[in-house]
Amino acid sequence: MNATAKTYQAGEIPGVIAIRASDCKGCDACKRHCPTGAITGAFGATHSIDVDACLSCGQCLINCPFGAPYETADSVENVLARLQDRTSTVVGIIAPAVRVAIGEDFGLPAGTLATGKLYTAMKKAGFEIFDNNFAADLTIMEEGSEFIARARGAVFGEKGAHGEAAGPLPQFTSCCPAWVRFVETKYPSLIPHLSSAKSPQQMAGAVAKTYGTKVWNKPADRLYTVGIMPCTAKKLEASRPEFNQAFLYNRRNNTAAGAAYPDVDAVLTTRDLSRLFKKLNIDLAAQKDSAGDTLLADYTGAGAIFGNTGGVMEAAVRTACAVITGKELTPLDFRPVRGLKGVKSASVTLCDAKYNQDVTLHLAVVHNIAQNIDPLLRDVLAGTSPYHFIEVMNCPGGCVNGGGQPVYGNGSSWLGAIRPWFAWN
Amino acid sequence: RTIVASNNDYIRARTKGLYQDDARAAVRVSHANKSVARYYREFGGEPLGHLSHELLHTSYINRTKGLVS
Repeated sequence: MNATAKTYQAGEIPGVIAIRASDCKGCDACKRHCPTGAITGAFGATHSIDVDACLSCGQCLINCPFGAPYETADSVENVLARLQDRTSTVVGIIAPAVRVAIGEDFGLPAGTLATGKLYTAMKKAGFEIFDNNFAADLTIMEEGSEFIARARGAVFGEKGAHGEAAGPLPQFTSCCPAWVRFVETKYPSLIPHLSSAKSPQQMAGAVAKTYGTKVWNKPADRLYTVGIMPCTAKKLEASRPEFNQAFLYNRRNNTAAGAAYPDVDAVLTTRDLSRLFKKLNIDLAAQKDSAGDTLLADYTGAGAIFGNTGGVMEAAVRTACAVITGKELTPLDFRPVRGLKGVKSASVTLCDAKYNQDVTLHLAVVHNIAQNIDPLLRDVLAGTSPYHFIEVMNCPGGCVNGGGQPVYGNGSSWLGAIRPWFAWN
Repeated sequence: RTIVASNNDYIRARTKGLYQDDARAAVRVSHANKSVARYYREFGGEPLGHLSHELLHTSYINRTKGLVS
């Protein structure tokens, strides 16, 4: 089926989402949630997905009233086998949005913050814990520093450590793999605007198999890293062939002799992890709280909010303010980027302590790109964008509503969108 | 209303859960994460440093030209 796929590198999963023809009623509900128009098929006829246009975001999957879309890549059995294999240390990399949704699969109310229960359940299953919120903090250090370098490059003509010119503004965030693929397949001329910082998942994998070998006292080829993600596109991201930097690093330092390994070995969605717990008879809701065991589970409030639309920007503003002015942002809550408005914008004026000069930064936050992204990109392409830094998340609300999250309301979550049509409201 | 789920209701509930995690955190800014600082001190060097470029940064691909997979 994918013999003609043209937008994938060798080794990549050529589209994580497919539609089961026997379940599709041709109702078109999925099409209104697809950011790229990748779903084809007339109303009433069986639909299918154009894998070259598909971002693997899974919005069709969580919004189909008939459960017709499914994931083509499922690592639950592989991860179970690794958990039972005593020679492997299995590291679970837990994304922020998982902990506020997985409880729904075990009868807890939507939005229950279940970090402690999740840690305990994962330890019972045999995982070591790498909280991806740690990697989110690391992302802010890298992506925030990159943004400051670009801003100082634009305002003060500052150059990089090796005399190189800073990248162009606006800088786009790069945490969301569906958004990255959107740029790569539709707007390649904007690639220089994407932050070069890897997503937290990929930073976590690379750190786990280098620095983490000391933390767990295990060689990298014994570490099996599993992204636990609210997101189906993370499965495609982990399969990108360039994401084997830990192996290359270890080989250069003579600590990798055998076969190559990826930075992230497998990805489970929140739904996949629920399924894994249920196979092991672990009831998440019944677990006591526990804490992380290593420094790789330490995180701040800034890392925690990465799963919300606006969260990456808010975390970045907190750190950028401290680095640029030498003082902490007060208050730390940065309200203009919170909430579910399609495009949120804010401006902050900071006195750059290095140059003793005020700099005004214009910021924008976009989510639900199916509805909201095109006008902003038109401005950037025309060179008229007023913004310096733009956070983009594919899914409405951000990762908390990712395509890998528990399906709400028996697969009828899409009905919310047409509620105004019903007389009983 | 009871039989019709609203997208935004559960999105808001999960969103609130994450802001709660932030509000009750002892440390709320990434640059004060002591374990991240320790990572840089013991191994990673500094943000945008040599090892960061090797392990924590990447590049992107123009996928409009027809890749062969």
